[in-house]
Amino acid sequence: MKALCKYMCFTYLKYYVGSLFALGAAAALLNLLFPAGFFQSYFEGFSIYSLVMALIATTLLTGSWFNVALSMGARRRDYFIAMQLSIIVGVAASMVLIYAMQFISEHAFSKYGYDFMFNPGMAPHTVIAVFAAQLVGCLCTVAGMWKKWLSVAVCVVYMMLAVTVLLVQMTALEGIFWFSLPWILSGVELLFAAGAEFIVLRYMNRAVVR
Amino acid sequence: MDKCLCAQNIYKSYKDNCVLSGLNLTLEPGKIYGLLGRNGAGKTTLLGVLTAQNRLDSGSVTYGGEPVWENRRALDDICFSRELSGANLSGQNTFKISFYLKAASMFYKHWDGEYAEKLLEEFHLDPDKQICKLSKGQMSMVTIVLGLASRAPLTIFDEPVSGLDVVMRERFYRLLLDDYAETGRTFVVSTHIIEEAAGAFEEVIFLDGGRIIEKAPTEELISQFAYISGLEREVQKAAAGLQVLNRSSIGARTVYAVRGVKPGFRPDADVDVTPMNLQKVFVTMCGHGEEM
Repeated sequence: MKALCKYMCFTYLKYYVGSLFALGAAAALLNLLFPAGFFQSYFEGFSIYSLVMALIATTLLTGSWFNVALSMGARRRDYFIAMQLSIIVGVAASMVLIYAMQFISEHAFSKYGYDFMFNPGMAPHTVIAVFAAQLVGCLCTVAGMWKKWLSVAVCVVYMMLAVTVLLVQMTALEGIFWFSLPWILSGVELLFAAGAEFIVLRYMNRAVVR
Repeated sequence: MDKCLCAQNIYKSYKDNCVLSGLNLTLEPGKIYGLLGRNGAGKTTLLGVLTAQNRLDSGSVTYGGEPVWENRRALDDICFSRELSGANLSGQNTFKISFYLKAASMFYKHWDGEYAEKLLEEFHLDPDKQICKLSKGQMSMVTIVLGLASRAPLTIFDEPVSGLDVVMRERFYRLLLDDYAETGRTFVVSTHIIEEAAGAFEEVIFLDGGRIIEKAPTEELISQFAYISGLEREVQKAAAGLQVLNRSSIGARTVYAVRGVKPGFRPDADVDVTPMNLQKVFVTMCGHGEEM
């Protein structure tokens, strides 16, 4: 288990958290250098980028990284548990960065009126979205082994749902939408995540080294 | 170090294709085994099943009396160094050699990093090179480095010399024997290049038709086989009481491949008796009459 936790840090967390921080730094730097708003969307849409990156980074978790670990004698159930832990750490890292970016937005770019796509009052929705994105990323690889188009379909459907959740939660407190709508959409995301978790667990228990 | 790996009555199928059929095998500690079988005989499937990298349909695999499947104690002692490929589940295998070494250092309990470094130097491998950019031979070298440096009490190589030139193949077998002399750990090597490896194998295992058809000390097995050639009548006379595995004719001469030859075999007939090498023994037993 200890070896697998180290392996997760060395693989998934290094790439996911590293790329998130790099993106955050790049977005902040570009906006400081070009404050006219040319790179505004990089900054404002950071929460969506973190979703996309969560989805991309996790595809290897059930793919090549899993295959290498299994071929070197890792236990399937240990890998699954280590994967869950790293996903939680990944969500935490995402949230820390989203909060940091929001803080920077409020303080460094307040005069430009940046509309950061994150509503601290509705943070649980973002947590659910990032968490589910990581599991859907895992699911995409598993689906792709069966049918390639299914992998793309799962990815597209989930991203449409997650972006809708993020857009709705931004304005939910302003009363534009029915207040329960973000919660209903987040509920759908959680169902997505639970389904993904079940399928991934089933796949891992039966996995064969390729 | 003194644990046996036992497979009992194992079955494995891929859809309608039965690959392993009621196979029984015991690997005793402290030996170098050669696993030989034709293409598609199920060697990799068998090795995968023995190391819990592949699932069984039925039967059991135990190591030191404990099931291997999802068993930390068993898996800690086993290293199955598989053939690497330029492609993986995500497309091209862009992992660097250093990635595999780092992962191996985390998972293999007995990993010897210094030895791995030494082997990389010996094979002139650049750890920063991606797997997809390596030649077939270099990929084999990486699997050799992983297997040898794992220092696992039971180390299994699947086609470790495929793609290697003759010099490197010789070097691999020398390294294997050096390591064996030093540690006494168990090795299983599957290969198609039989004759070069024969001297390294203490025991050979022939896999055919989903079963182990032979498992015996190499020298003992080879000594039982011979070709008897001459005129048909004389050959028949000489082969009386022996198991005739194959018959062929070259002009007026008849050649029998026989088993059951005793040391110092001198038949009372006008025939030539030629001993077989391991490759010929394998062809005779697994060739199904296609070649002699």
